[in-house]
This record gives sequence, C-alpha cells and structure tokens, in this order.
Amino acid sequence: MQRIPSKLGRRAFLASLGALGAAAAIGPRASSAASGSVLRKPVPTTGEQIPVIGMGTWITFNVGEDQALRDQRARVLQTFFDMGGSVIDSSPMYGSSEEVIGYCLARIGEAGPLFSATKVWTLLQALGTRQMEESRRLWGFETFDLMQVHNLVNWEGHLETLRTQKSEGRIRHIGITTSHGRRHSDFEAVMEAEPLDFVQFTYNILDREAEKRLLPLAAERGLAVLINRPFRRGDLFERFERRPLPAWAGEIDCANWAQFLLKFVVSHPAVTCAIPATSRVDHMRENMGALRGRLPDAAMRARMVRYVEDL
Amino acid sequence: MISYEADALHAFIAQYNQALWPAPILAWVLCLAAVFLTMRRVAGGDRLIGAVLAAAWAWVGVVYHLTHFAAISFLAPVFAALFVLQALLIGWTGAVRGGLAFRFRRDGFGWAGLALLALAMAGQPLLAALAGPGWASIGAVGMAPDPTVVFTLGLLLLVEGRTPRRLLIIPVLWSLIACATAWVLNLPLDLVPPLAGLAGAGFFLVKNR
Repeated sequence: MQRIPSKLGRRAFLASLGALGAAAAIGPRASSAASGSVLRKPVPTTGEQIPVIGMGTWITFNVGEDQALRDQRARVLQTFFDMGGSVIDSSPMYGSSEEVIGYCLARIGEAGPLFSATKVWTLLQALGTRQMEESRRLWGFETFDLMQVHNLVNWEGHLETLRTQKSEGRIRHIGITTSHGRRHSDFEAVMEAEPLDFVQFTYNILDREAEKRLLPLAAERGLAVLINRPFRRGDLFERFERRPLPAWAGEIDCANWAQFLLKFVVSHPAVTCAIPATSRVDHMRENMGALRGRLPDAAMRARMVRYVEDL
Repeated sequence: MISYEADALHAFIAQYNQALWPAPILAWVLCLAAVFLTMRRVAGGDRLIGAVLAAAWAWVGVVYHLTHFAAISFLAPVFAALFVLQALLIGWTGAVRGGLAFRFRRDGFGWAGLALLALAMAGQPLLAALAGPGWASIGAVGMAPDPTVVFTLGLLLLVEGRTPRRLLIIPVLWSLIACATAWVLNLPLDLVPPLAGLAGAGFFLVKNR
C-alpha cells in the first residue's frame, strides 16, 4: 500500500521554521537563532529554510534486500533525523537506495521533517516520467521536494517534464546535477538559460574549482546549491585523519575532521547544503555535529585551506 | 564505478545463493563433470564441455547480472551483455562447431589449467569460507562471475593446439573489473581469483605462440 506523507507535518515544520527564522533575512547567511540550534539556509526561490547538512545515499544505502543491513541503515537515518537532519538525496542510479530509503522511512515513521530529493536519470523523456513514478512508489511519496536531472542526461526533455510536474504540484523544486569535474561548461549554460531552483555539484576543501564559476553563478541566479562529495568520497579522511586537527578548530566549534571539512563547504555564501553519505551511525553523529555552532568567516576559510594544503 | 559496499555485496551473494538453492550444487557438479571429461576421451565430450561453459556464461549473464545484480548495480546490464556474448562465442566455437578439444596434459600449461580449475571449484570457496565472508556468501562456479571466469581460463589452457584469442578478451576484461572491485572494496582475498585468471591469460598467450 502506498504511503502518503503527512503534509500537515511538513507544514507544521515549515511554520516552526518560519518562527525560528523570523529574524533571519532571506539571504546567503546561515541562520542559527541560538547556540545549539540547527544551522539553516534558505532556498532562494521559495525562502524555505533547510538544514545546511543533509544526507547523500550513493553507495551507502544500496544494500539490496538484506534485512540486517536495512535495519542498520534505518538507525543511521534515525540518527540523522534525531540530530536535526532533513535533506535526503538519492537517485535511480543508486541501485536499491531509493527502495531502502522508503523502507527506512516506513520503519522510522514520522521521525522528523523530510526534504526529499531524488533525480531522473534516463536517456528518454518518456522513460523519465515512468522512472519518477517508480521513485514515488519506492519512497512512498506523491510529492517530491526536489527533483533533479542527474548528470544532465537528456536535460532538455526532462526539464520540460519537471516544469510540468512542478506546475501540477507533484514536484516542489527542480534542479540539475553534475559530479566532480564533469561538463561544467554545459552545466553553466543550463544554469544561465533555464529557470531552476537547485543545482548540485562537487565542492570540497581541495576541489575548489566551483568557486570560480559555478558558485558565483548560482548566487547571481538565485539558486540553492547542494554539494556532493564534500569528503571527496572519503579520500580527505585518508589524507587527513592521522594529522592533528588545528587547535583553532575549536573557534568554529569543530571537534573532528568531518565537521572541519563540512563547515568549510557550507560556510561558502553560495552553498545551501552539503550532502555527505555514510553507512555508520558514529560517522553520522560526527557529520551532523557540523549542523550546530559557529561557521567560519572568509578569513577563517582561507586559514582552513592553508592548513590542509600544508599538511 | 562501484555503487555498493562490501557488506552489501556479500549479503547480495548470500541471498542469490539462497534464492537459487540447490542450483549452486548442480552447477558445481556439472563443472566437475566437465573437468573429468578433459581427462577421459568420451564421444562428444568436447562439445559437452563447450556447452557447459556456454551455459555457465549465459546463466551468469542473464540470471546473475540481469535478474539479480541489477538491483544493486546500474552497470549490471552491460556486464550481462558481455557474459551473454562470451556464451555465444564459446557455444559457437566449442559446442556447435566442435572447434575446442579439451585435454589435460602433464605439462606446464596442463598443470596451470588444472590449478585454475581447482581454484575456481575449491580454492576460492575455501578462501571465502575460512578467511572471507563465510560459506553463505561464496560465489559458486557456474553461478557467479569470478569463479566462472577462472574456471573458463583453466579449461582454455587445456585446449589442444591454438585457441581463438577472441575467447580470451571478455575473461581478461572481467578479471580486470574484478581486480578493480576488490581493490576499491578493500577485499584482498577477492583479488586472488582475478589475478590468477590474468596469470592464466598470460599462460594462454604463451601457449598460443
């Protein structure tokens, strides 16, 4: 039986966000009403505030039908919600991830406010419509908060479908994605020409190519930005985890490398939300720690870059 | 591009074996029969070996990759096409045209081939059971890609005379894919079969000179 999300719950959540963010102007700066509250940024096109740390599902939630692994991922998701998370990003390309998310959400129940984001990833426009229906079935939702064209595959055709479905209220925001270093010039062209709400691409403390064009363009166009691979698919931990975290990391409330790396990403004024992926509860706790406390300013961001480049 | 973690792969193989039980045992017996046929001259034996090999590749392509593995890997349909193509190549060359004569010989190539057959049928399962994910998650010869590829390379080393090189391309390609997978997933034991397969391919090329 298809499970329909509680829109009342989401509305109530948005209302509470409105109260929390009343003092925060719609703009690039993260809002954190009080110490310990969740850091949020607005989606420029709608003003909706979302937590700056979300959750990706590439690899980590692709566990097939194994019951033990599914239940373990449900604990990861529960931790994500418990610590203030909301944005979950997936794709039909990610194997069983969407199905596992649907399982976990059903198991958790009304654990928390969800900002559901997935993608359409197929060559043919007609197949894209069917694929999105399948995603709705797997997640258990009639309406997605965000539907993105994955890696610009047939973006012309799919954006047409997405705009139609947005006008019908079946999608709340639309966007496009790319992975590390792929088709940035094409991506820019679509960002400049098409009416979008979100863009998603790779950005991390060592891969800062996006600072030159994509991030400024997103800010100029008023687009929300999701950041994938904030840990460079784990490579940054392999590089840095044996090195000491600088003593001054405490000045931006970072207790570990995950928080250091995530706060660098989400402190960029044009970044709305980073979506690290993990299959472990302890790593989820570390990631979600970046959702609270102070964010680095421009000078501190430069200091962070200098520090890791000297390691 | 690997879209799963090691524990998800092991859980997948365990469920695959369970769903098709006792097919892994039947496949193993068929492969054992093929090995025996390399040591006894039986009328039509070579074509039968070719048919067993073709069936194994077709099974792995259609049942393993396309029907099951596609649930966790978007590349599974591509892999399925490769395995079905190899099934057609071996089926045409060995079973239909009778162009492959499998004979065990007491020379270096014979022993190397036999070692690969032993690895595919016994060594890999033992490694997986004793130092890997356990019995339930063992990829069975004739049912799962890695042991089937090693088994095939072992048999091709037993072919009398020159063997068409086209039969080597997909097994080598899969061995490289399997090596990359084992490396990325940090599964050192899973490197053994594809590395052995690549060594077997080297023997194959030397034998074919």
